[in-house]
Amino acid sequence: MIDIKKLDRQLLKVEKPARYVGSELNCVVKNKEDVDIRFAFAFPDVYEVGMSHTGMQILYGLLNSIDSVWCERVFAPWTDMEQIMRDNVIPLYGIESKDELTNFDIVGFTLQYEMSYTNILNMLDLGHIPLKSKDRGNDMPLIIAGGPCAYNPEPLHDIIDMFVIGEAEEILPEILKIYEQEKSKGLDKKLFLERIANFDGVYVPSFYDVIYNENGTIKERKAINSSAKEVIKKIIIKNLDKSYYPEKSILPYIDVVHDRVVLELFRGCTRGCRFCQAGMVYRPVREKNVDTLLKQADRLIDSTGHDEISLTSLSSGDYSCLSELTLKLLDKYEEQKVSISLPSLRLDSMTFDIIERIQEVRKSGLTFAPEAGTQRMRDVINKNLTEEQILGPVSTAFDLGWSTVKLYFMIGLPGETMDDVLGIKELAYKVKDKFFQRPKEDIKGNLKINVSASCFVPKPFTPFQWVRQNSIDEFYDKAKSLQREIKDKKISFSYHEPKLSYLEAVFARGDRRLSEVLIAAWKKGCRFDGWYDMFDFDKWMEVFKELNVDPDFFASRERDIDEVLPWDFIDCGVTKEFLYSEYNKAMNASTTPDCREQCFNCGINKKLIGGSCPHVQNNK
Amino acid sequence: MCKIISKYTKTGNLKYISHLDVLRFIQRAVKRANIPAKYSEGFNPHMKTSFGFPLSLGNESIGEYFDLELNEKIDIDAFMKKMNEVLPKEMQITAAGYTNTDESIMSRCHFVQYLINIEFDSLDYNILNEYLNEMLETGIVYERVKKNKKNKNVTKELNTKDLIKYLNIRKNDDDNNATIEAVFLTTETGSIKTDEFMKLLGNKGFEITYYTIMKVDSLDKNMKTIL
Repeated sequence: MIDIKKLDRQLLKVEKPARYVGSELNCVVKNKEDVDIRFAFAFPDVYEVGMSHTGMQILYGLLNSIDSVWCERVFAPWTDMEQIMRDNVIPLYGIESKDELTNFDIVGFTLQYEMSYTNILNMLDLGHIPLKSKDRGNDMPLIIAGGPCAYNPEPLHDIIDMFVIGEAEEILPEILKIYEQEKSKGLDKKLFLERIANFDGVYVPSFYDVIYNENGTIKERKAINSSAKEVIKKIIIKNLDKSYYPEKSILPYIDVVHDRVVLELFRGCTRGCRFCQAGMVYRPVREKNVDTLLKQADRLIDSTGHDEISLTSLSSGDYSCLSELTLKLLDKYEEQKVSISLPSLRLDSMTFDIIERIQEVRKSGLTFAPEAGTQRMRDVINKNLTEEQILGPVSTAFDLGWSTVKLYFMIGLPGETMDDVLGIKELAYKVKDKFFQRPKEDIKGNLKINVSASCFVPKPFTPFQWVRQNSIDEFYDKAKSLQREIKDKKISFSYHEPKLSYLEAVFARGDRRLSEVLIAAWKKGCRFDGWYDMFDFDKWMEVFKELNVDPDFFASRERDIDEVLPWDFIDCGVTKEFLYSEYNKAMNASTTPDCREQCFNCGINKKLIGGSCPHVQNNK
Repeated sequence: MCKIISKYTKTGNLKYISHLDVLRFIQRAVKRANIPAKYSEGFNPHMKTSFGFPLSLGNESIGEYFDLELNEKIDIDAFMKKMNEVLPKEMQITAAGYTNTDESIMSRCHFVQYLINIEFDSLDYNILNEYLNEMLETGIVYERVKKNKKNKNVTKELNTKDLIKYLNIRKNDDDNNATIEAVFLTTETGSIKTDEFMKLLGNKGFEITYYTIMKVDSLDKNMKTIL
């Protein structure tokens, strides 16, 4: 255990010391003598962000439901705490036991966004754990990782011992069972990894070698261990109703980003937006039934006392029993003053009577995500949303008394022209007109339209995985044009930092050569790169130059269809042929309907389900 | 009106939780315990609770208070039992009772009693004793810098004599370790904070290696416990 007095003496010097002490309601403390495996769930961002993550709550509950395992949490210390830990030689510790990270068997990182990678290095270093796999002996914890960014694991190949590709709750208990067996024999990490390397969803990067062409592209991947498989297939939970979902969630003492009960309605999405990685990699759609959800809500409210339930998924309006569920929840919890929120609604599908009921008292802002300003552009990205389908719901919302509207767009989408960019302004002005083109007596409240534009980052396993990202200059040019053109006082415009999106694009489609870049950038002091005030673009550019790695190669290069992509060895269920046909349709601005209407053979049906997807059958 | 006043503890790691966070945490506990709490009317209903003076971050306490209004009268023992079942061991209700007073906990509180346990690098007991007497009798003048409404620093001069009612040292087994019993004035118009007191000790040249502060109770104007 770390020196508690030493920690105690320092904690009042840091911002929000409660980030570092644990003891929250429903956190799990076991007797370490009674368990065989100590697991640290590591979230590479601050406590408030990590504690808002549903995946952590699921895996924490699941792992602790196994008697022989004790799962604890560890978060990235903010810079003030890092300084104190370094100055006073306090190693990074599990928040429950206050034991040093080196005392754990396994440290599992979740990869939610690329810009958190330097925090992984910092956390290992603060835990006195060598950064590279090859420098960690059997006395050091096994370092594993999973989450959405694991779909392109290669930039972290030198650092992480093993990746889980897909839904980890399906496979982690099995992996831990084997770990336990190996540990009882005296653990040899390599033998253990060889034993699990044939599981679906397990990727051990050290079992492969990559050979490059002269132009920097990949020539071939070679397995250099006989246990290594050619293709790593993602794992999924087949039946969400039967899968583990926590009955209790940890209740933080301090204010966190999402401070509410989260009910996951379903996984996957049938919309097929071409920019969206989640929409491709989380296929197929798997719904939970209403009874399961009501039961889960009940237990979570009882165990936390939260006053809000958030119904989440990639597109909650598509949940087949949405109104039944919402009305039942409202009836049940109205007395207890528990409110319901629906964060991911496509407004074309939304039923306003539900929205009206859940927002009976508070008319907070409404958010619409048209993503692109012109119809042509929305067709390119397959948003399947017409102008009428945007303006119609907006008018309804105004009639019902809303006056604050947020509009989300992307700039730098494939094939975008300046006309498409300025289409964002046109659409925002049309929204404004809808507000004022009503009888005077109906116009209430003060109209506020917040338009925000993010810079498009092409992601692996999307139809845009081959395209070049706009350059930083192009992004600035587009963003500033919009800033110039939008002059209305009722409309405010903001955009995401292009430099940050550029770096995100480098790592999203990066390869093995980026491991060294990460380490060098961390050594220069890069941390919390996703936090705009911490992000230091110049440091990153220095590192690329010093290591002679060209970031444009990853972000701003159009790939050839035949090129071996760094993530090609992963099978996410959707075929490359499907992605390419979608890419070609995008170039012709031709759309693909929602796959509940018709199956387009993305591959999921044949490869992961063995038949056709249930949502298609249900609709026929 | 149905109003319960409760006395509760805040110990262990909960000493790092700020006052605002405690408010929300207790309201959630009331919900989990299914207590028929009263809510305010209006667009954004909130639970009718009120609390005493905020405890300084880093101090533990076995004498914190809050008021809770109810829709209907319930048995006090049942209330305490239900609440303590849903509260962590570091925060337990130790006493509760119905109250008729309209006076807030803050206006009823005049003094706070503390136990301050200090480990010194090397302690000369007599010098410490002398200094504490000086604080009580002649008074030590110190400055408090506060931001005013215009966000400008304003300095206020304070005297320990006016703010400290009682000090007593208890020597512990370890020669360099002492426990100070203290009663500080704590009202809406004047008070001394524990960190100010500790700073005065530091300024005097006492080398403190570690200390813990336990608030024992909040006292009314007659030096009696509030509940």
